[in-house]
Amino acid sequence: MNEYLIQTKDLNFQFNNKRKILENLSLNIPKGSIYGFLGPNGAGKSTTMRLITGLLNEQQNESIYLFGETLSKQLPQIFKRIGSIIETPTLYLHLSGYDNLKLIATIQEVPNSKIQEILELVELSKFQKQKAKQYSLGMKQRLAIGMALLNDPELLILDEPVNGLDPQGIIEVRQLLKKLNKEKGITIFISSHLLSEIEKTCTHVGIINQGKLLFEGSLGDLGNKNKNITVDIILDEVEKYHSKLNGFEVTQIDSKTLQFVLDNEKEIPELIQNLVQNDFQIYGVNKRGGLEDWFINLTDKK
Amino acid sequence: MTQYISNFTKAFRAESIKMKSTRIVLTAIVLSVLIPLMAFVFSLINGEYNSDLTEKTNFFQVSFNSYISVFEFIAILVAIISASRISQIEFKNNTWQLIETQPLSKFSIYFAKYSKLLIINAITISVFFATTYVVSFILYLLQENKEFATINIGFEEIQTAIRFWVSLLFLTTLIYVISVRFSNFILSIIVGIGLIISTSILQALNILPKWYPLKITSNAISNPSDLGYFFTYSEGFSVVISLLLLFIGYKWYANKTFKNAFVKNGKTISTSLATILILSGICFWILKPNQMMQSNETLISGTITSPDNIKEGYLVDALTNATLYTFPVSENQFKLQITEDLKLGKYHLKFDNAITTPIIIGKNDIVNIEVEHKGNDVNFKKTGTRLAENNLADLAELSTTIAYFISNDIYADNPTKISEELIDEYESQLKKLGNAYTNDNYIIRDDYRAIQQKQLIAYFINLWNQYEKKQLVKDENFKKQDYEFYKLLNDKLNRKDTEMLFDNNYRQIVVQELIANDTSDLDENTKSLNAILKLPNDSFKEKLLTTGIVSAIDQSKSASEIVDVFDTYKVGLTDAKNINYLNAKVQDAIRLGKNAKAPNFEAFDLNGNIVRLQDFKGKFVVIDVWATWCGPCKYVSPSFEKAANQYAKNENIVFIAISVDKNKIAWISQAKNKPKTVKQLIATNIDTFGKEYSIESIPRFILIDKEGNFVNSKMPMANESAFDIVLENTLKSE
Repeated sequence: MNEYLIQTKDLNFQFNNKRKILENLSLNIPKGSIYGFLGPNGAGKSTTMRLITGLLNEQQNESIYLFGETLSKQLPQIFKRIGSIIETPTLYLHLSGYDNLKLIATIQEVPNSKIQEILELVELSKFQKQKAKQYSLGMKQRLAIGMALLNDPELLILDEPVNGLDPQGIIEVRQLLKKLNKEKGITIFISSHLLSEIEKTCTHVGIINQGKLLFEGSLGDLGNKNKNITVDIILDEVEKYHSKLNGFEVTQIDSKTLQFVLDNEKEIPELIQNLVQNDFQIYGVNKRGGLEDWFINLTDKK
Repeated sequence: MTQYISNFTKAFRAESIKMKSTRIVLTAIVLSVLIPLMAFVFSLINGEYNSDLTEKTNFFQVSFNSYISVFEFIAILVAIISASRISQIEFKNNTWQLIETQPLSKFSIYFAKYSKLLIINAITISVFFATTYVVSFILYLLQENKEFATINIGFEEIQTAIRFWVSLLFLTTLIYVISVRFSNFILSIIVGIGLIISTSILQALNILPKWYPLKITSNAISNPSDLGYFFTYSEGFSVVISLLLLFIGYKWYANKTFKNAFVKNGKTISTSLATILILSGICFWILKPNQMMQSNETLISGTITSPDNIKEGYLVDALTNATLYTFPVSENQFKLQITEDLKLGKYHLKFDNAITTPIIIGKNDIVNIEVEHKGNDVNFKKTGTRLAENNLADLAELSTTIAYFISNDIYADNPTKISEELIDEYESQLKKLGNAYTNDNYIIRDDYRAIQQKQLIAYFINLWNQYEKKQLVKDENFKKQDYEFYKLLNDKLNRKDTEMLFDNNYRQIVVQELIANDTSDLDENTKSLNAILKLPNDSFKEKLLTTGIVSAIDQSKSASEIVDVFDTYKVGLTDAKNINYLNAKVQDAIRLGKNAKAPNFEAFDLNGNIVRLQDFKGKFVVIDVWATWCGPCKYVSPSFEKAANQYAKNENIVFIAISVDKNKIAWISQAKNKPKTVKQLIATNIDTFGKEYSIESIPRFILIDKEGNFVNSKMPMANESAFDIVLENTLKSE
């Protein structure tokens, strides 16, 4: 039986009577997974994370379960088993990297030796004496992750951890998370609005829009859902070929680009051959990931 | 349980780490050290430290008391700034959500910060205390002559420090609760500064509420308990109101929204309501003023410590100076039990070394007095069933702007305005009377309060009558009854109240109305006595007549006049005691009247030689009778010395100061520093001198002519212009 470290059962939430922020949200984060919580801005991701970590004081007694038990029963001691970063990295800017870690170590009752270990893990050993306000955003993020790892958590909850990082930074964080998951078996619950990030990092996905869960499952499951492929063909000009477009499912994107909808990937070579035979002057072919499309469509719906 | 403690310890240690490099504690320490240090440097620069001491001085105590008020202000600032900043650490870094996703209860988080603040307050006070001690110790070491210098940490200073820490709880908690609730740093600073400014303003307007945070702190610094308790109601209030604020603040913090914290469901509503009601109830109960209860005996008891050997004390009528009761003083203790009915009022308690103090007492009152005569100061501590009456300001010293207006003819032609001002001032003084309370939150009892209210009315009616007098000169049709003030207050004063006759204003009103219809050419005093004589015989008349005769005697210049007055009006008296008393006074007056022979006093000069009055025959002699412990004497003597300087070249007149100190050493140390233009003497036998010259109170001024006869045995005070006039005229008539 697969253990779920986080479960929400028909979670509902609203700040006031006007608008429901979350509606019947049922999440299941399996143990050992890297679960990506995906949705556009304003979908309710941060709110969900705040609810799960008890930051919003709505104790949804029956709706939120951590490690199989209701949340309210376990606060605040449950934080000995969890590490979390909610929204922007929260650090004490006037303290050094070392002191920030020391602070958490004191609260988590973790020996000082662990601090150096963590500093090495997040590659901040060289900068440990500098005040956090002098760190770059990437360094701050790594320090925050380090602080979340001090207590050797079984579960990491990260709200948009790569937000604002440069590509190098994004890669570093991604590699770190995968390493932690593989080597220590830490379950990671991570939210983002970037589909590409989720695709590259996660094992499971939950997609949320306007407070409702639209999809939940493994990454493989997600791939299978999206057979439809769209291909953008870039021509010299579209005008010339108008007459030859019968029989294709096609839309014109702009004066040079036509978008073809195909059933699956396998039909792409056939399409190209077809067009070439029909004297289409092809300057470029872009395969639009079905997933991305599907995602945009999905979250576009009102 | 251990879970709670470890939680709290972790949170507390986390706070210590967080406060690194914020310099919050450093600021507190620096500011606390600053005041004593600056004062010390100032003393060094001024060379003040090598002062000539004449009595035992505790350097620590002196420094502590002089620095403490400025320190109070600093401590308040530190409390406000620290309370604001400790929450700002989280708001600035957005770390509330960091610490709330740690294994720390909200309770630990909230109260670890609060405890830090309390510790910072303690640090501030301790650093000040220690620095003051160090500074005063150095000043002590610098003293060349250590005869009178001591250095000692007294119980009082420790008590003040502890009380102050407790009193700071209110302000600290208030600012803390606000700073956690509202992320805007400026808000809590504004509240803090606002409290400081509003306190000054409200105090100046005399409407500072009893419960104001900065009143509570100033109580700890300046108002110790009169009843011997370590803490007063003020510190108790500080603790309870802090609990209330912490309850509200913590609940609101832990539950994020007001609704969740207090009104979420039946249980929260009832616990919140119950807690708030109980704590507020206690606060109200603490702030409610108390009144002493009467006893079942009338008793004056107490102790008197003095270098003089005191054997007797007296209870004296404040108005006539008649001795009502005499009691022995043995082993520095005294006890006077009064079995007759004693009318509630102000009396004087006097001792045989001339130390005097007013005392308010009546039937079934127990008044306890501790008199401490040390060196040049006398301190009186009065407790008992008339605690408030004896410790709050007296109406006798009332001075108002409207009195100034009337005597200086401001708005003289606008009676409506005068009437309005009188009403306004009356109401404001009435309010002030109602708002007065002692350090232990006691107020004046209803019966004496009623007397004071009548005194107040009499004061203002008297002013209106004075105004009327001036107006009638200009406009004989002026009717004082037409104006609002008269309509409002005139009938509130019963004109036949014997109890009120002690009050000067009341007597003046009564007498003025009695002689209103007397249009003869006689002087006012005579008209008054005539009118009083005509009254039916009762206690009212008795008292009025007695005081009238006394005042006539005091004002009279010639002995024969005094005898005349007494003979004429004594028929109106029925109480033998009064008659005898007045008789004695008349004899005294004759003895000391103009041209009577002045008794040949005997006194020591600074070299120990005996000096007698007869030694000055052929010169005018002006005498200032004083004592080292007499406060009013210190106030008036400079004027006497000024006059002495003025006439220094005049060979016909000599200025003498005769001290009635029992303690010769105290007298020598003060007298030797006085200007040489005044000859310093001390009576060889104080009792004899006092009796011969009828020294009822000091300071007392006497003028004797070249033949050794009295010119005036009771001159005006040296700081009154009448004094100079008498001198001038006397010398001129030469």
